[in-house]
Amino acid sequence: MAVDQVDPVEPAPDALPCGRDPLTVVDDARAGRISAHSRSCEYCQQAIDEDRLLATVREIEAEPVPAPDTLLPRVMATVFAELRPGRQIALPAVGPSASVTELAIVSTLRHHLDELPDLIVHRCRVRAGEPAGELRPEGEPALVVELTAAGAYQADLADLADQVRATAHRVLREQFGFDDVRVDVEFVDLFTLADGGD
Amino acid sequence: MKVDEAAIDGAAAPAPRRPVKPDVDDAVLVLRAQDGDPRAFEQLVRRYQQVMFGVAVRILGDRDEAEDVTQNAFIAAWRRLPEFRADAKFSTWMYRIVTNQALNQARGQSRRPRPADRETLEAASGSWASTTVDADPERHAQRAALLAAVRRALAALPDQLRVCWLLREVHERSYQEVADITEVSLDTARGRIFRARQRLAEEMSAWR
Repeated sequence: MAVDQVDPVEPAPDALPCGRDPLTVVDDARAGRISAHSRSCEYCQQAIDEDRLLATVREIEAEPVPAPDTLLPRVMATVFAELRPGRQIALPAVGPSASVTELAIVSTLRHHLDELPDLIVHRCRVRAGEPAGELRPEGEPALVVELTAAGAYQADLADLADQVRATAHRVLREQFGFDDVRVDVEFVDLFTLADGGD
Repeated sequence: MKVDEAAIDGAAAPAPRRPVKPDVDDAVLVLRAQDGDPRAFEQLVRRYQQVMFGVAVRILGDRDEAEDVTQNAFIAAWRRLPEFRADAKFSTWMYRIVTNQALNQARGQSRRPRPADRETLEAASGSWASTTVDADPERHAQRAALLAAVRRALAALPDQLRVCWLLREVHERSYQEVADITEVSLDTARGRIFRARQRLAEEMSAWR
């Protein structure tokens, strides 16, 4: 629902009698840009003086109001209760009797990939292939990871993609027992590494 | 060959400056949250909880109600993330949800939303008293009267003017963002801000 119904006849600010837009005159004055016209124009000066009067109101209202400590936990309690964990994927070493959710795999991958200094993960999705055997087409892996990411400008993206694949393969093998994995990496953005100081 | 003077002196060589990744921006956190990553959404809540609570408490004038509204707004955002368009700005979207919910809450209770009074902001921030207590009783009384005048002036504004003024002057949104948040045209938003300023200036003229 809109804050308020749009009133098509609700007017824009009237121009000052000198023809200037009052919001622009005030914004310019606040930014320290007072034109030669505004300096000598009584209407512009009146608008600027009124705005100076309101500086106190702005100052009082703009005092920061910290959020209550209970807000974040209350929000996140609901978020965690409503998580969409995705499909269950059977653990290869155990078979259908033990499985892991797509979300658990993705969270684990993100955690490890976020440690790569030249990478910011955007999207990360996993999908399980058909069970091994007749149903799985030849060459189709048991698990496919689809990743979009940003790489550092300074990085060699081919090397970075190799690091991503190596990390993903290691994590999936060591933590979940997946050996037959394909990792698709698409770089969709670049970023500049900031100076971290001494 | 370059000589390592620090090694000769026995002093430790300065550690090389280590580049660090920039903070993940909102758009990326939204993508992650859309994929179901609760930690990404938690980062968004951490980034915006104070400013959104500030909007709600200034519209409702009651911090308990404001906390409920802000909580509901973030939960609504979480549930509606699949609808969020990649070309939109998360902050504008959140402002819109919080503003609408705060005004709906106020209207639902059949009373005008009122600007937060000083006691509410003081209780919410814990900082008000420490920044305003004045040793000089006369100045303190003058300040208290000024605060009361500001409260009256804001309370006298119609909702639509006050919300646009609040978003522009306190939350420093651009005119276009104010229009987007309140879902009115740019001209209408600018007109409302202008008229709010005019009325406030009239109300506060005694303090000139």
